[in-house]
Amino acid sequence: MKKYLFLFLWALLGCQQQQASQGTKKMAIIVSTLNNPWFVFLAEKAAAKAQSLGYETKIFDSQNNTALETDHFENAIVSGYQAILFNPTDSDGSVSNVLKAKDAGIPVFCMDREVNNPAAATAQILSDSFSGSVAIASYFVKQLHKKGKYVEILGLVGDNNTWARSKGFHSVVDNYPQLEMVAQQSADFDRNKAMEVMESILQAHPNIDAVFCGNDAMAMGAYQALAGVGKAKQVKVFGFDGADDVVTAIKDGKITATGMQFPQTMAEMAAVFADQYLKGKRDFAQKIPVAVELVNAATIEDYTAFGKK
Amino acid sequence: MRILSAVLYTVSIGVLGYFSVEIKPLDQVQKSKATKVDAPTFARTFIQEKLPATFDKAPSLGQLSEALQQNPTQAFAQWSHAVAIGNIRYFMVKGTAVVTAINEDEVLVTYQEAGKNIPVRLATEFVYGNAIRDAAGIFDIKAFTNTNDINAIAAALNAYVKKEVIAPFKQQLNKGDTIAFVGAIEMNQAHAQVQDFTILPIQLQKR
Repeated sequence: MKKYLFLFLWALLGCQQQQASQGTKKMAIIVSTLNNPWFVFLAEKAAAKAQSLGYETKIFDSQNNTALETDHFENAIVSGYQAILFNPTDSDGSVSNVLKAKDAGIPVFCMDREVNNPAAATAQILSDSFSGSVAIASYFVKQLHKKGKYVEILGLVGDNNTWARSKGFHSVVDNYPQLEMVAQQSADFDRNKAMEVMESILQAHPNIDAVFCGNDAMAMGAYQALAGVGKAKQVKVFGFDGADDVVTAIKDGKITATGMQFPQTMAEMAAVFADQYLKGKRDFAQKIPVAVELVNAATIEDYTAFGKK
Repeated sequence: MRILSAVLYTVSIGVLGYFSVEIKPLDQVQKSKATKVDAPTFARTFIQEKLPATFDKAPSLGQLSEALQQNPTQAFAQWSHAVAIGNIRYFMVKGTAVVTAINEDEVLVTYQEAGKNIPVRLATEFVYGNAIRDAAGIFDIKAFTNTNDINAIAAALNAYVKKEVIAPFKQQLNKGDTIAFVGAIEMNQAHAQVQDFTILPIQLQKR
């Protein structure tokens, strides 16, 4: 009986998938987290572009959890989505999910974050995090006149962007021996965690000159912690993303600089590439870096949140 | 019996936890994402052998300045390059100039052509970013699948220039010297500063 039931369900699933391929065109948008406005913007822009190209869309929130991300991929595969626009949770941990989709004949286009397997995704459209951090770090060194104590707050340790930003930053800052990093801790790209981490670091190192954060949410968290102990004006805070509140904070002199990413460019390009793939194109560059621009008090008027005016 | 069960349960959880979680120091995680290419060797070959073949095609600084003021869109289309998509673009330029000041982080020069004097900064300390890698348009990103390699090459090119080109040159430089240069300029296409030039040197000669 069980065997017949299984066959019936399998046949039903097959019919549904065939229906999807013949009728409704659908793209799944799977993002690492919707608990960060930057990723909400990325997901919404990808969905809007896909819809403008004639696709139905659904946004899946992985909540920074690769197990949940796996569920979303399985759901997308059995629900007949023809392409996946993907923002991975973990550069290594997300590879198997992408390969699963690939085995099912579904192309995956990575947005902003990469997976560590050049044969997995069809194309990866990525912020040039390393170069963006190099630009921030040059400005950081100039602002600190090549000396002082600083803290680095890292993002998710499993994400390549975390290390690309950190390595880009250190490729510049480490050339100046009078710049001393007194603490380096992860806060998972999360504002509240960054605030807690910063509060804890300040107890051990109350006299610091600057904080470099792997994203803007953490920069705002670090700023809150510094403001809480009356050190917001003494300590320069640097972020990365170009998020709404940090753009405002740079205008207000609260945050010193950030790296402006262009999530709309990446999201729309991923949707266009997926559409082109489904229409027969196959020769995509594996990795397409998107430039990150330094935003500070001198250039802030040229920018708005998540992009250029 | 209840105590024994509790002990067994605790030990089981402990053993499972120990084998299912791997704790690594942050610097070890960073090292595992290291580059694979021999970036210093690549940089030396690129600067000594590949880039000089492109110098003839580079505009003079005067040509570029004029073109950016007359028709910036065409100037960017004709001469700028970049591996990444977006507004950050790079130009290769050349020319001769007179040294007006030697500062800690830069050398100030005046470029003279067709009766025009253009003040220029030659970066000698902040030689970072992708300008030297990308300006000539000959760096092929498709030859690399690892993003770390692409970044390592940019860093190695900058390090090579700073050590092998700038350091010996700056030592023997005096105010009033005439110099010949080939270098790379970074410019934001959406907000081009067409009168404000900072050049990252690639080749420098005292005349």
